[in-house]
Amino acid sequence: MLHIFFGDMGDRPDAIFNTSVYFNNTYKDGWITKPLSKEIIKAVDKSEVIDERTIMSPVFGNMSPKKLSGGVKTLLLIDNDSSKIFNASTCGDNCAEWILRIAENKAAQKKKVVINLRHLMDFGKGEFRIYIENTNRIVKNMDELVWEAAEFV
Amino acid sequence: MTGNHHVEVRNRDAVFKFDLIRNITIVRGDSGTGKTTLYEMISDHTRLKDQSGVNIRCDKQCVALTDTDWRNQLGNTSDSIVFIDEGAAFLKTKDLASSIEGTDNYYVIFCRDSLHELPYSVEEIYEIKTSGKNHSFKKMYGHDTSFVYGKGRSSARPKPDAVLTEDSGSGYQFYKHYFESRDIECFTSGGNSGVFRWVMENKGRRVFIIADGAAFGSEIDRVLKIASSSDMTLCLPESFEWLILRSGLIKGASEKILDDPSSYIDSKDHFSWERYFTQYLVELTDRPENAPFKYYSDKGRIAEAYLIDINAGKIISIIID
Repeated sequence: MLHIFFGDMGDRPDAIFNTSVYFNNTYKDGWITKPLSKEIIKAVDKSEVIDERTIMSPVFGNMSPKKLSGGVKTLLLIDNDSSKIFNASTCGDNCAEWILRIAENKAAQKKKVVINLRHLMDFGKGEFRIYIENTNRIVKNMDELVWEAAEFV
Repeated sequence: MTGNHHVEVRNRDAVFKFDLIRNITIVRGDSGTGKTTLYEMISDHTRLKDQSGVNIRCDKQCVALTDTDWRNQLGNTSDSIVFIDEGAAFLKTKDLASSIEGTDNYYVIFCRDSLHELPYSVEEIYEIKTSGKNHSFKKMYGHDTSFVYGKGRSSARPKPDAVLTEDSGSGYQFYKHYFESRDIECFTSGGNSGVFRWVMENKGRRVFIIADGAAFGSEIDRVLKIASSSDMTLCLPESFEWLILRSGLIKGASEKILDDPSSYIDSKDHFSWERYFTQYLVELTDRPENAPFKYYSDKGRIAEAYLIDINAGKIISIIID
């Protein structure tokens, strides 16, 4: 299940605010060529993974993974580094379905995904299960999420 | 700084074209639309000017605020357009708000967080639209001719059972008199952030919410999302004072100013447009010809002339058909 901590996380050492810089300095080549990463990069940045160091962007041509969008960098961090809690407000609403999918995949491996949101990301019209860390309650759709979390953003 | 400023930023890969109208512009929206690319182009140009290869066309200097030394940089920047990236840790601090208030710069901030310390307008929140290499800004929140945002726009709205206004002074006195004489309860939230709290505590009521759009930018996302899952209507005219100036009741209110505030409101003197309109209304109603409509800047009361039904109707008709 996806766990979300809404609002400012203060000085917690495991909370990463500037995910772009953190990604640039920590990502592993192998992350880029994973099937899920390729799907994410294709869907969000409209780009194709050529190899671990090369991505073909319709805007920039061949580029380094460091030129991926802030949202994609954060998604790859959430998927591949469970030691930190990443600021997912660097992700637009077009990343929401991928966050849910990453959390589902991790749940199948008996792992949980915890992210930080500083805004009310739109997780769509469907049903889901998200654990709100601030209130220790589970919400099942956007209406419930908004009423549960809006006071923290 | 005053006025509307057109900005064009280009390099070999991308072209951004947009107009800035007020002192604070917020850019958010989907990932992968070019926010970081635009910021990095401005940042390269800030460091290396024309030698960066980035071409900027604008009648004002465009600079990127860097994370580490932002206070010093801001202290040495004037009459410029300042771009701030979402990765800046100081974005939500009171320190930033106090540092930019009273400056003669415009600010473009890339951020999805609600910046409660800054009085930005619901009209100046944008996303980036992309077509090939070309990028432009598009408003995130639209309204109908009655300044109603989100659900309920352009459709018949049932009579509310309550009205909520963020104004606790003259505006509240006015709305309370108008609506309670029509058997509709009127409440004040005591400020912008109070709107959200009041709405949370009054779930299920059919509420017509009136707040100042000029400074409601940090609240609109969560209030609209709450409103969309309940029976609430969000009406955001520029400000209560703007409604009065627009009503035709005040002699000498300049159409030029009301039609094009950007050309007259200096960011150095007024952090948000609502403050300007308050000052303008106070000045106009100090004149003898507007004596019945004397507007009190301390907002403790409102002149009787505003409450007379025919006058009140002229003000209300701008937001309610």
